[in-house]
Amino acid sequence: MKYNLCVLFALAHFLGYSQLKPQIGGSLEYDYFNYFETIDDKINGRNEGTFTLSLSSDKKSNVKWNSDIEFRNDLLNENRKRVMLKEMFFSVPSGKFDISAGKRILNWGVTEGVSPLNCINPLDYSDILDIEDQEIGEYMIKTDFYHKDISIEVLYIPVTQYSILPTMDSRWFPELETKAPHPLDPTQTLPVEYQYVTKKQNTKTPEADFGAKCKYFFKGNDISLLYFNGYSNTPISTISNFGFTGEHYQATIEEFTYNLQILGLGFERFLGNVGLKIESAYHIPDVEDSIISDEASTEYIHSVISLERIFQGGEVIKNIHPIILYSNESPLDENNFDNKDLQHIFQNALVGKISIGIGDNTEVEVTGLYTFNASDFYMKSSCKYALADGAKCFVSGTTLGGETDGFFGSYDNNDRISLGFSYEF
Amino acid sequence: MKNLLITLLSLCATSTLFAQSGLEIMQKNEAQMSSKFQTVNLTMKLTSAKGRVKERTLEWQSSEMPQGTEKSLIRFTYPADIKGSGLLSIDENNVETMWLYLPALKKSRQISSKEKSGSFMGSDFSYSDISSEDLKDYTYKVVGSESIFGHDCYKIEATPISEETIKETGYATRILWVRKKDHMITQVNYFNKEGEHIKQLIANDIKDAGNNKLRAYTMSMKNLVKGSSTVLSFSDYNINTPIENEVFTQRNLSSW
Repeated sequence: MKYNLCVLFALAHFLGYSQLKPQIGGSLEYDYFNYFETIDDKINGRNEGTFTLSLSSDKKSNVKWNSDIEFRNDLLNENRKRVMLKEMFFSVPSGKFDISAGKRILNWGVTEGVSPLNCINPLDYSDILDIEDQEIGEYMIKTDFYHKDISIEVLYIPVTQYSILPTMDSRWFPELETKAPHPLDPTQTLPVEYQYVTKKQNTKTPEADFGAKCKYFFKGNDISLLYFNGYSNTPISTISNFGFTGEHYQATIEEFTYNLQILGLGFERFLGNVGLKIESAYHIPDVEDSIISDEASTEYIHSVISLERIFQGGEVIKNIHPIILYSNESPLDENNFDNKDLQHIFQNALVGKISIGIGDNTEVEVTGLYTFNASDFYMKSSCKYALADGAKCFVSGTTLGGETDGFFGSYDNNDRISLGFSYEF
Repeated sequence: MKNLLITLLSLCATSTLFAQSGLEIMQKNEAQMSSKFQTVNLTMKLTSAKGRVKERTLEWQSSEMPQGTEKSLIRFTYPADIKGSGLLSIDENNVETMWLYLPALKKSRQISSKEKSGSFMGSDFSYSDISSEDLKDYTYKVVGSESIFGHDCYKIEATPISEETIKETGYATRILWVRKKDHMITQVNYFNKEGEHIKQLIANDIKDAGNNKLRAYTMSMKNLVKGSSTVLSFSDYNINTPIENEVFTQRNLSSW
């Protein structure tokens, strides 16, 4: 961390911007939540504080640099303690080009919540429901070219970062078979012990990603085309080395990532007062079938369409902002994806979200999701109250349910309630 | 019969005269307010009906091209939770496109430019209140002459020509007080379709902002229905110093 900061300031000095006053900002957040049902040997809550320090160049300067460092501590969950450099990059404009380098988060998608085009940054899935602030920065070199209403972005990521998956003591770790039939007497069962190998193994080398995106604005239409060639950020977990010791079974859980190409299309425009957003991504995995399952090598198209509108209200209800989104994944061969596969949660899903501004300080939000393929659901209700400029307190409740062979249905004992406070400065 | 015809014709002529006169006054106001380029800093003070006060600061850059293209970029600088948020608006051939940039989302996205009656960043000003007015969309009728804040003013009734404009702005009628000496608007009363007086704007501290252009340095909008108010305090006007076209692009909007 110290090294990273030294590099940043040395770079800023080298570039001659140290004479400009850096901007200092940040945030402080406290989160507490508890599950309605306690599960033995699992972490059953969160009691967490997060401090984020943001340093950036003077906004009037031509060359910009930006860094966000996060300090997080959780009294209930050791795995969530971290000091992380979330972003640290600089950007130099040169005529029609912007050249930037460093660790950063890029958002290529147009839709909210479910976005197949957001393929650059890995995600932190340590708490699957905590979707805010999930992206993990990637080190990259990026060039942007601008000409009239066209922009072209080209990026190179020398070393791929991977998504953080839930650990075995997490309530979001998939349920595994704890017993298996005795090899000599199938009427008897023996316990299964698992060993988790967190080191990611790739089916192809080198571990570099590159991508390009072209965006065109034409008569109210924002159209983007993109190409990505790299690694799947979310590893696939496989169980291997299923051995018998005489007293129990021993299995190893290994994580694999694979090479992947994505061709994407994004579209955004307003039809009167209604915002229409469409995304479609054609996934072309390059997987050695002998290592990972057949489903992983299946090519598929993931498409999302969303409609939204803001209704202006009156004295009490200030505004209402509903969004409705439909997501569909179409495999291009006879394989079907597992309903519980983290990479394929939104195979055939309808998402609805409504935000209601009440008075000057309160915002109520309800999000619901239903999957037609697995008949399971997720629902979250939250309320935020602005105490003062930059200071908010919030409370939320989440429930999951439906068929247990679905992703959300399998976590139907993970209903929870949370409260928190945040301050930005 | 002949007398009646003459009376009717003269009434029509009188009302046309007033309408033209109202339009002429508004054209003079438009000439006073127009500037090819303008940059200004603003402090927005919002006071709720319960007396709670919130403050926002922002920088506003705008340009008007002779062929009718209008562009503006608003960037919030305070408080921290909205700092860096930007609103880019491009009105080309009467087609307006707006993009909103929120630093937390790390991307700009289109927002509806049709909901002009919506609150501008939670204030008592709507988007239509802060947008420049297209004189073709209204009829202006001089309905009297009054002294407001010690200034002799024309009292003008502005009525939207189309139902669409009423729907977009939320106002069925406005009464404007325009100072006779310099054609600056000093007060506006807003009425909804039911004829209810819903809002009142008062512009004062009007003075030379440079380049022979007068500007109000304080504008306060009262919402008479909700009981809230918003005061805009302007500073550092910079009029007709060229602003690069590059400023009004998504590239610049997202570069915060």
